[in-house]
Amino acid sequence: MSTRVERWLSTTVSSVREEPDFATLLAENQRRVFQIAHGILGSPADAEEVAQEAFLRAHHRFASLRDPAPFRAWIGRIAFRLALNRHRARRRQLARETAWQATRPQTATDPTRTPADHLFLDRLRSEIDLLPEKLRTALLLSAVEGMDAREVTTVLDIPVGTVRSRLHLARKRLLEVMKP
Amino acid sequence: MNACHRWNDLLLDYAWGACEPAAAARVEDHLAACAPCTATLADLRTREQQIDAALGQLVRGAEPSSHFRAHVLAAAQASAAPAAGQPAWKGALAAVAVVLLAAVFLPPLAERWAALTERRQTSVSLSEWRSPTESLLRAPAHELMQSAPRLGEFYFPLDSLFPETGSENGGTNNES
Repeated sequence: MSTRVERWLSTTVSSVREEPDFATLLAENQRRVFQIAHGILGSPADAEEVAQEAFLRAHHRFASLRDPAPFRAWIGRIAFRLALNRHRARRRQLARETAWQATRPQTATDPTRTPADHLFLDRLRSEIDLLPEKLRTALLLSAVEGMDAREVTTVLDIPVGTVRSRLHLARKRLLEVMKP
Repeated sequence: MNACHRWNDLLLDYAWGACEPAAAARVEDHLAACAPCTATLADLRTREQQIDAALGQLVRGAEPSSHFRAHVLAAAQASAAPAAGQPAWKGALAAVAVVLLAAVFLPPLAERWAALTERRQTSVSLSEWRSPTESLLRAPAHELMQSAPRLGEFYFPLDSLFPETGSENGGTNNES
């Protein structure tokens, strides 16, 4: 009997030891979560706000999100939803305003890029913004570091085949419109 | 070029490696004989590489700021702090709420409790009820009734009941 108790105690203690704390999971996921938000919003400042909000929500629910795998999936989904909501709100606001060009998100400036690169990036960003939301989100999420089609399905909550089909369509449209 | 227009979609699939083997073989046969389509395929591949690189820069180009982690942890601690040290008025408010709830819900609960107690007592008394026959069987005559009378014996002195026939019946009874 005592050996069973000891065995149970040792497994419980070891499982408690193996559970990462919030700071560890934050460090592991912050880059990806930021990129998800940045992909949707195109603004580093907005992306950081959204990522922070997503992590704060995760902190409130941390008791049920201690395992790294569910945490990764959950934080990706919540960051995506928050970013999408903000993007939609911004679009509504832009639609109301006449001088929308002035508030349009600008691509982060990089001194190593040539003016032609900047032009190409701005043009690509504009064309991506013109894509239907379903195609745009699939395309942008697939470009996030370390996100394969399977993980995009987790965030979007749609089948893998649908993700592939949306990616195919989005890339095809971009190839058509990005002709020199 | 117009004659090759129908190959455009297939060229795209071919560039992505998404063609069926038979379709891929047809495209390769056509490319071998068509310089414009070969140029189109090369252009598609170049453009796709440019788009891929630019897409990576758009999404992965920016990094969270160096103090992002510290900000999140500080905000998380700040949002968790009020739970540990709640203001005094919140406690008082909670106490008033408890008293009000007790005042509202306790009287009906007490009435229900009394009704339940009464029903329980009734059921107990019903379960303890015994029929009169059982009490008669436990009477002092019970042993007498259980033993069978011997020949010529009576349970009761018949002389006292029928004085005129006492001698004719043999005059024997339990007492004799």
